[in-house]
Amino acid sequence: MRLGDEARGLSILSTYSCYTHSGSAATNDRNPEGGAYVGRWQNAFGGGLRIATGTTVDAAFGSAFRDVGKRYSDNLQAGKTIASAWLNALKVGNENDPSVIVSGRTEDNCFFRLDSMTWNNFASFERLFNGEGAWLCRRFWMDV
Amino acid sequence: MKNSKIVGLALLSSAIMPLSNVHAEEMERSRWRKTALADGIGVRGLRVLRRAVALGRHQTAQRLSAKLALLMAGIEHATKVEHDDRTVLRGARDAWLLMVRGDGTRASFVDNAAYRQARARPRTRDQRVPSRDLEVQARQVFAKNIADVVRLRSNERLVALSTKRLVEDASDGITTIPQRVVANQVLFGREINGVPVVGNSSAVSVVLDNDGNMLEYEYNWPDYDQTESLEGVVDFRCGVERLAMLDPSRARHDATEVAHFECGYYSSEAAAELQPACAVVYRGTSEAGAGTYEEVFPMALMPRPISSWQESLAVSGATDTCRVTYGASASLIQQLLELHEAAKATK
Repeated sequence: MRLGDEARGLSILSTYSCYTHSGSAATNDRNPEGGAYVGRWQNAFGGGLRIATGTTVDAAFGSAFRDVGKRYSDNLQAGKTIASAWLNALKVGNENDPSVIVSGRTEDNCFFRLDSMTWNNFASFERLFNGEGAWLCRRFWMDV
Repeated sequence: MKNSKIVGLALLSSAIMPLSNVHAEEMERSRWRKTALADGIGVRGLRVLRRAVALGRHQTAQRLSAKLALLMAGIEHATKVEHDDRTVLRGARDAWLLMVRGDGTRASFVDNAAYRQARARPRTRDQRVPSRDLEVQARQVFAKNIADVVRLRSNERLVALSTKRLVEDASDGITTIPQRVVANQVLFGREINGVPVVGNSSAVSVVLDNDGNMLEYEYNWPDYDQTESLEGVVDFRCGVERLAMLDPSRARHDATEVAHFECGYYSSEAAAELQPACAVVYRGTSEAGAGTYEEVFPMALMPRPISSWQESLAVSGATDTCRVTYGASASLIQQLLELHEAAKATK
């Protein structure tokens, strides 16, 4: 799967779903820590996708979580970085395990993009195709 | 099916509370949760608590930014944007951001510049700041920055619930950067008259760097006046059986693991009063796959319907709220009743 170079030109992929950024190759394995996300997501970012937000383990459903989308949207519009907007919006109680992945030319470039991309400026960050964005960096909340 | 019940029972002692972050208050909270499994609310009635008049969004924003001015230069030059339901203040070049929502009982602050600096002082997981130290630091942040607008009455307590770590890693598929902890979150809940407020309806979150500096805070903390009225509550079995009344599309999940169960007061955003309720978080499976679900079900004898609390809508219209036929939630109900029996036996 490649994302970003399709007709829509996807830049931000946000999925409120379990295990999308899991560290394990197997689905439903409650392992946020492994490195298997790299192999799974490098191809997806090869199409120029700029940022993916998801979870390493859980995305919970129920009354307490019904406004997660609104919180994310409010955070984005307020000017938070996309990473911060997502990591904050899902941090309602203890049940969610939000995470963010970004691609970069180097490790530093990757974290710079992760720490700088906002709803208002994301289009100004270059799309990195195929091997250009070989580095993937991930930030996530975790119980340790 | 039998195996899943055994899993649920085994989790009673370990998964109700992560034991790695045990502080004195968490242990207290943990005991309360076990009591909830044995007794439900545990008393026949709870004092009715009514939402007090709030400080208001503008005054709250003013007070919070005045506190922040002690920490950060140039806050008087912040950009202020008013929306229908929130006030947003932004520092120059988005260095920080303060958002106050609704009537001022919810607010969040993030220091983006400090976050970037925090990355320069990472720790390995083994060297992470102990949870006990984080809790002390987070309480100091609360006292300095939030206590002016989040009033703790004499019958209320701020209870540490958990600590989480913000972790980073990176790889190009050949070289892998080891995981490092760059920030830490302490989540506090609330007790009123010794009764927990459940379902994340009152919380304070503080995020600190590895040196104890504040990076972010957020609170959802309405103020409540105590009334003279008592509200009757139903027993554990009756409350749990109400789960069968929920919308089948939400309840049709085989519960495989009860991760969290507690009872106390609950409030949704639109509610004028707190109501007795129990909250259960469970992992379940459906045709769509495995997921984590939360149900907060009313424990009041006569629950009042609240538009933003779906479970209250389902239960409040019923004529006999205790004699129901098990429906789509049968496996969750069954599992909770078994946990209840086990908790009573070990009490």
